[in-house]
Amino acid sequence: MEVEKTTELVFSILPTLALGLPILGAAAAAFAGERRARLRNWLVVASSGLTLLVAILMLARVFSSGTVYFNLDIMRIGDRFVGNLEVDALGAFFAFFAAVVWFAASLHAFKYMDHEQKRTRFFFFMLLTEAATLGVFMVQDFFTLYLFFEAMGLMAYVLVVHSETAKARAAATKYIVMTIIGGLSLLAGIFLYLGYSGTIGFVPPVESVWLTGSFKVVALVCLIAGFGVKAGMVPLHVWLPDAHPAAPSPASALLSGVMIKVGAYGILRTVLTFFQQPPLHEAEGHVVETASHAAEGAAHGAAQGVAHGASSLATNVQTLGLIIIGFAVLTMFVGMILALVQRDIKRTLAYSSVSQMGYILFGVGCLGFLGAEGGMGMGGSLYHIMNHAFFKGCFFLAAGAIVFCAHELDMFKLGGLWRRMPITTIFWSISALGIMGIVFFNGFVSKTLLHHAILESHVLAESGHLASAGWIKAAEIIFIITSGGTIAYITKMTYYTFFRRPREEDAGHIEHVKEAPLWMLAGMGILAAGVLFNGLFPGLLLGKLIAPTVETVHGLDPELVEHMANTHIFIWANIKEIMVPLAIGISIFILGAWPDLFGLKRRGPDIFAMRLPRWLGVDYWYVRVARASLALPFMGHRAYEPVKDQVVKGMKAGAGGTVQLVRDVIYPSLTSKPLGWVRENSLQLYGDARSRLMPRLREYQGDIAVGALVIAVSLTMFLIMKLL
Amino acid sequence: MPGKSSFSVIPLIAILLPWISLVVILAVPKGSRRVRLWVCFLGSLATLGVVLSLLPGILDGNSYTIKLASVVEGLEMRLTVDTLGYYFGLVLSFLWMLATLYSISYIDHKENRFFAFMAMCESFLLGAAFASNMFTYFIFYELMTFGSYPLIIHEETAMARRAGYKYLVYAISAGTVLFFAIVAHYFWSGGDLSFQELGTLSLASASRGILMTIFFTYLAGFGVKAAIMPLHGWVPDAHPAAPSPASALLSGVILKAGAFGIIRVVFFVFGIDLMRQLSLFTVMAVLACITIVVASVFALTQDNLKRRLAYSSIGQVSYIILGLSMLTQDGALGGMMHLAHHAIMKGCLFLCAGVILVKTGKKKISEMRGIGYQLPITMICFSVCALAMMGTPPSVGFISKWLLGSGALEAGLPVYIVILLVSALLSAAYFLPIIYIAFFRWEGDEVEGGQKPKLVFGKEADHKLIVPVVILAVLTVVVGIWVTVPGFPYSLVTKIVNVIF
Repeated sequence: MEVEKTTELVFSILPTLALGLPILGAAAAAFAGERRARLRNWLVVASSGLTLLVAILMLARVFSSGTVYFNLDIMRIGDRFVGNLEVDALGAFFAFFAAVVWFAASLHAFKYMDHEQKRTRFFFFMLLTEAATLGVFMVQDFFTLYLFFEAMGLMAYVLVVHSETAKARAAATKYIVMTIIGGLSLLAGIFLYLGYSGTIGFVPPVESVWLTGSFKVVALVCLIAGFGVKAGMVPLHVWLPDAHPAAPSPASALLSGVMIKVGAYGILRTVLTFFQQPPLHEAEGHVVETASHAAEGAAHGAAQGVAHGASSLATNVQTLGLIIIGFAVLTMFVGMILALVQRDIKRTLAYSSVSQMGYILFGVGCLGFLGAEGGMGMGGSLYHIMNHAFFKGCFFLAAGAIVFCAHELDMFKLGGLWRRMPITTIFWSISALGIMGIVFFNGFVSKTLLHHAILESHVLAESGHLASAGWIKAAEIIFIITSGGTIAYITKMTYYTFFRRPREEDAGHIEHVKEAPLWMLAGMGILAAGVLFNGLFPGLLLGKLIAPTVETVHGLDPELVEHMANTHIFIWANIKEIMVPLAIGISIFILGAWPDLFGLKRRGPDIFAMRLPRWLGVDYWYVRVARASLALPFMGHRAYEPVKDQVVKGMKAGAGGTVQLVRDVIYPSLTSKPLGWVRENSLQLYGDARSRLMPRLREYQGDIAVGALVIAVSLTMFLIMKLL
Repeated sequence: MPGKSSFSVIPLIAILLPWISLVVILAVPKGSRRVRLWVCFLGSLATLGVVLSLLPGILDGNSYTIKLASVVEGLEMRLTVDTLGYYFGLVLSFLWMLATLYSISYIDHKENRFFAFMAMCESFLLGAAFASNMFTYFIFYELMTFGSYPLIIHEETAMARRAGYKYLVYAISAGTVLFFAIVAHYFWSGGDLSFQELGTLSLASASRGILMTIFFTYLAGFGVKAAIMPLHGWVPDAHPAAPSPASALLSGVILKAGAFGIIRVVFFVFGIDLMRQLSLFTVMAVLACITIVVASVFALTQDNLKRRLAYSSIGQVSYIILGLSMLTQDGALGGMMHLAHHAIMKGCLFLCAGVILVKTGKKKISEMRGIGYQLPITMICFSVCALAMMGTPPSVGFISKWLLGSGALEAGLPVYIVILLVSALLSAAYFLPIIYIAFFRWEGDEVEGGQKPKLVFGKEADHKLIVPVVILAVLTVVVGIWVTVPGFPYSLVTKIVNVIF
C-alpha cells in the first residue's frame, strides 16, 4: 500500500483564495449597501463566480499534484493545535459542487431578492456562509473543522430567519437550538477523539489506544449525532422541514443543496477516519483486507491471530456501517412518506431532502460495512451528493421563481404553469427526471451505484453467514420502495404545479403569471445542465472525478475502485431495476391523483391529504422536552423559595435554641461576683444587638440559605466522590 | 530558571503613577473638568506604558524586585514582578486604561470622587499583582477592597448603598478569614510567606490536617472575591448597582484578584506536589463545577442585563478554579489564560450594557427590542463577545474552553468536559436571546409586513464610550486567532506553566 500518498503536500494559494474571495465580496457588498444596490448585486455574483473559478482550479490542482495546503496558521496553541487549510481530493470535490450551487444561487438571488427586505444583510451573510462552508471542506483536522462548522451553522441562522415572519422566527429558533446542541455534541466527540487517539487530525497515529475502550462508542455517537443534525438524519431532522422552506429560495437551495451535505461530509470523514487507521503500518495494510476477507475462508488463520486488534476494528467499523445503514433507511423512508403528504412545494422539497440524505448516508453505511471493498458505496454516495446538490438546488430555485411570479407555493392552488413559465417547466422537469432516477438522468447513475453497493453488502453478509444478511435484504427492499415513493411525490408535485388545469377559482390569478426573469433562469439553467451532464456522461465523471477521489482513501481495494469506475451504467440489467420503483411510484400517484387526472369525483380517502397524529412525530416530543427544560430553571427558582424559607426557619430555630440555652441554663448559673456586671447588662446588650442585627440578618438570610444549601450539596458530592 | 532577578524601581513607579491623578484632583478639584479627567486617563495610560516597558524582560524570563519596608525580621513588604504577577498586572492596567477612558464620558456626577478612587484602586491592585509574598498581597488586597467600595456605591441610590454594604460585609469577613489563614501559614511555614515556584509548604512542615485547614481558610478567604458559589452573594447585587465601567472592572479584574490569590496559593504556596498529595483538587473541582452550572442556571432567570452578566461572571471565574483544580499543564494553561480572556470579553459586555443604559435608559433585556438598530456598533461588539463567551471559534472563549477540555483529558476526567459543554449550552441559552431581541425584533414587529428599521452606522454614542468597546471586541477575536503573539496571554502563561510543572 502506498503510505506516502497523503504525506506529499503541495503549497498553494488557492485554498485561501476560496476562503478569502467570499469574505472580501461580503465586505464589498456591505460597503456598497442598499444605495448602490445594483453594484452590490454584481459584486455578489462576481465574487461567487470567482470563487467557483478558484474551486475548479483547486480541483484540477489537487488531482494533478495531490493534497494542497496553505499555512493559515490561526488559533495556534503551542505546537499541538493549529488551524490550517489543507485540501485533499475529497475536500476539493465537495468544494467544487458547493461553489457551483452557490454561484447558481447568487445568480438567482440577483433578481429574486427584489421582493425581500434587508437585502444587504442577506447577501453579506450568504457570502460569509459560503466562505465558512468551503472552509469546512478545506481542512484535514477536527480542530479547524469545528471552527468553520460552527461559523457556518451560526451564520446560516440569519439566512433562515431572514423574512422575520412569525413562522420564520419559530423555524429559525428551532434551527439555532439544534445547531448549538449539535455543535456541542460534535465538540464533545472531538474532545473524546482527541483524548483517546492523541490527535485531532483525520488520520490518527497508529500507536493510539483508539481501538479499545467504550469511550470510542461515546465519541462516535457524539460525532455522528453532531454531524447528523446538519445532515438532517432522522431523528435529528426536525429543524430541516421548517427551516428550509422558511428561508428565501436561494438560501433554501443552499441549505438543501450544500449545507446538509456538510453533515454528510462529516459523517463520511468520521467513517473514513475510523476506517483508515491500520493501513498506516505496512503489515497492517493487509490485515484489514484479511479481516474483511475473513468471511471467505479460514486460510489466514495465523495472520488473524497477529492482527487481532485490526480485526476487531474491522468488525467495529462493520457494525458502525450497519448502524448507519439502519439510520439511512429510516431517514429515506420517513422523509419520503412525509414528502408525499405535503401541500407546500418547498416543504415537500425539504422532506425530499431528508429522504435523499438517506440515500447518501446509505452509501456511507455500505462503505463502512464493506470495509476495504466499499469503493462502490463511497462512489455512489459521492455521485449522489453531487446529483442532489444539482437537482435539489434547481428545484428550490424553481420554487423561488414560482413564488416570485405566481405568489403561491401551495401546489393544489397552482396548475397549468407550463404554459406561463415554459423554461422553468423544462428545468424543473429535468430535475424531476433526475431525482426520479430515469435513464439518462443523473439520479439513475447514483442510484444504480448505490444499489450495487447494497447488493455487494448482501453478498458479503451472505457468504460470511452473518446475521445481518436479512437486515441488508430488508434495507434493499426499503430502498426500492423509497425510490418508488420518490417518483410518486415528484410526479404529484410536477403534475399539480405545472400540468394540471388550474382550478376555477385560481385560473384568473394564474392567467397573469409571466416567465421568470433571466437571472433566475440562468441560475436554474446551470444546475439543470449539471443534472443533464451527470446523467449523460457517467463514465467520464466516474473515471475522472469520482474514482480519483475515492482512490485517495487508504485501505480501499484499488481493484474494486477501478471496478466501480468502469461500471456499465446503461445496460439492461440496471434499467430493469428501475421498473419496480417506477411501477410503485406511478401506482401511488394514480391512487392519490385519480380524481384530478380523470376529472372524476373523489371517493374514498385522499392519500395526499393523510395526516398523522402529531404525537407520532419526534418533533412533538422534542418541543415538549425543550419547553420543559427551559421552564426548569424558573421552576427551580420558584421551588427553591420555600426550601430557602425552610432553611432560614431551621437556622432561626437553631439560633433561638442556643439563645434559650444561654438564657435559661447558662445565664442563671453565672452567679459568681465578677460576672455580676455581665449578668446585669448582658440581657440589655442582647436586646440591643438583636434589634440592630436582626434587620441586617433578615437581609442576608437568602444568601446564608444559598450558602448553606451549596455547602450541603458540595459536601454530599464530595462524599460521593470519596466513596466512589 | 534561565532569567535573573534584579532590583528595579519600575514596579514602584507603576504603583505610584496612578496617584498623579489623585494629586491633580486634590489640587484643582474645581478646575476644568476636561483637563482633570484627561489627566486621570493619561495617568492610567502612563501606568500601562510603564507596565509594558517590562514586557521584553519578562518574556526573557527575568523578574524585577524592590523592597518597600521591613516589618519584622523575615517579614517584609516587597514587590516582585514575576511572570504571573506581570500577567495579572498587564491585564488589569490595560482594562483600567480603557475603563478610565470610558468613564470620562460615562460618569456625570461626583466625578472627582470616582476618578480618585479608580486611580487609588488601580494602584492597590497593581501592588497586589506585584506582591512578592502573601503578607504584601494581603495588605494591598484589603486596601483594594476599601478602595473599590466608593466605586460600587457611586450612584448613591438605596440599591447601591445596600449593595455596597453587602460587599463590605462579605469582603471584611473574608479578610478576617484570610488573616487567620496568613497567621497559620506564617506559623507553620516557619515565617516564610514568599511565593515560590514549587511552593513553600510541604508535609514536612506541618501535618495533613493543618495544611488542609490552611488551604480551606485561604480558599474561603479568596473565594469571596472569586465568587465561588456559597460565597458569591455580593456579586449579583454589586454589579448592577455600580456604574458600568466599575462593573466592568469588578467583573474583569476585581473578581480575578480573588482567583489570582487562589492561583498563588495553589501553585506558589502549596505547589503541585503537595496539592496532589493532599488531594485538595477534588474539593476545588466540585465547588467550581457547582458554581459553573448553578450560576449559569441563575443567569438564565434574570431579566436585568447587568444581573445576568454578573451571574455569568460568577460561572466564568470558576472556569479558572476548575482549570487549576485539574493540576495538569493544559488545565492550568486554560484556567490562567481565561483570567485575561474573561476580562476582555466580560469587560466589553459590561461596557456595552453601559452604552445601552446611557443611550436608551434600558436595563431589562425584555425591553431591548430592536436595540441593535439604534446602537449597531455596540450591539455588534456585544454579539461578538457573547458568542465568544459561548466558546464559538475563533475567539478567546474557544481557546480557553479547548485548553480546559484538553486539560480535563490529560487529567483523565472527561466528566469536566460535560460541565464545560453544559455551561456552554446554558450560556447560549442566556446570551443568544439578547442578540435575537436586539437584531431580529423591533418595536411593532407583531404586525405582519411592517417596515423594518434600517441599520445606520453613525453617531450612536460618544467616541469615548465606543472606542473601548470596539477595542475589546476586536481583541476578543484577534487574541483568539493569533494566540501565540508575544505579549498576548499565551506567551506569558506558558512561561508560568513551564516553571510550575
